[in-house]
Amino acid sequence: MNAPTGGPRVLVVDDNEMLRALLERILLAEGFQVSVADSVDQALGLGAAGFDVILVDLRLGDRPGTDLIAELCRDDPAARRRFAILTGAAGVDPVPAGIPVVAKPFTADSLLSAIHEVLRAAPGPDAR
Amino acid sequence: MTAPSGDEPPSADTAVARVHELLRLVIDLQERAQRAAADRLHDGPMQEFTAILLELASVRRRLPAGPAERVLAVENRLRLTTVGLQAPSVFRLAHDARAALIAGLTQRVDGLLVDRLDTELRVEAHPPTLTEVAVVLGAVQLLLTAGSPHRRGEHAWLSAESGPDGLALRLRVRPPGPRPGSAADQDPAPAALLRPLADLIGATVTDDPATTTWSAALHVPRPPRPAAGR
Repeated sequence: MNAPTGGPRVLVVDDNEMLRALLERILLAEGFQVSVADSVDQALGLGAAGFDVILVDLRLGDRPGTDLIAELCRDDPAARRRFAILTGAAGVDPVPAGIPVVAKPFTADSLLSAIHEVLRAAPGPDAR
Repeated sequence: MTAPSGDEPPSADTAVARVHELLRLVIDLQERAQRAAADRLHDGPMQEFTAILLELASVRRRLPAGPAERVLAVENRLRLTTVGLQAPSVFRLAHDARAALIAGLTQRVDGLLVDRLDTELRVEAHPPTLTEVAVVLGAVQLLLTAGSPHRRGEHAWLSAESGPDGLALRLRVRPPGPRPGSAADQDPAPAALLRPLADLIGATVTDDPATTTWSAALHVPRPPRPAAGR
């Protein structure tokens, strides 16, 4: 299956390789442009600030996903509206206010709903 | 006048306060164990379940409408089942004292230590601290365990009322019936069984033979708040 191009840019940040691959496949099939990263530093290296939607796991190997949110919001406070958080520890790990949370285990449909919610709420990075 | 020696026994209030601190630590230990289990679930099975759900969605998208609907139903059922495996932390971030108390009683008392638990919580006017909630949860669990060491109690009624000076707890319990093969009068009266624990935690216990229940009352004192504006 060829991945359509030209759709919104989505960055998936999760340290689970299997989930990264599955999310990439599903989002490509939905017409998104997808990049994946396994850590906050790798996400920053991919230019996370330039994505329309950033899906970030809270528990990553080295630095928590909240570090990525904090780093991007330091330069652009509106960047928080482009995040959705993936977590299997909802209610245990602190979540920055106002960011949609997709609790693991999630279905593909609930994930896509969260992405569309972010796209509706947030102007893309090019709108700045 | 001589200075008090370090060997003097603590006053009754101090001794009870120390035991209440011990109860708080017991609950803290329970929380840590629960969080460790949640972490293991998060790092292992929940990632796998998420992957299975995503794989199912990939397959579903290639199926005709009828089978696709069946796969979607499987996805939703699997998700609900796995969500049910997660026991949320009693002291999770969004929980105030009342919510923590309800979650603790639901997870660790109702159905586990008694078959049925009815509660009456009046804690809004003077919200208890989370430490007081932990002491109450610890006391209730220990009283119910000590009162029915081998089996779940039949029915418990718990009231908690928070005032400016602390939290008042009342617990009434109908224990399980006589053990199979033993006559009712061979089992010791629950209050006698509970007395050592009750004395330790500062509770009073009484038996009510007319209703075949026992009751315990406990007050968890709250330190006075420092005066503001100074």
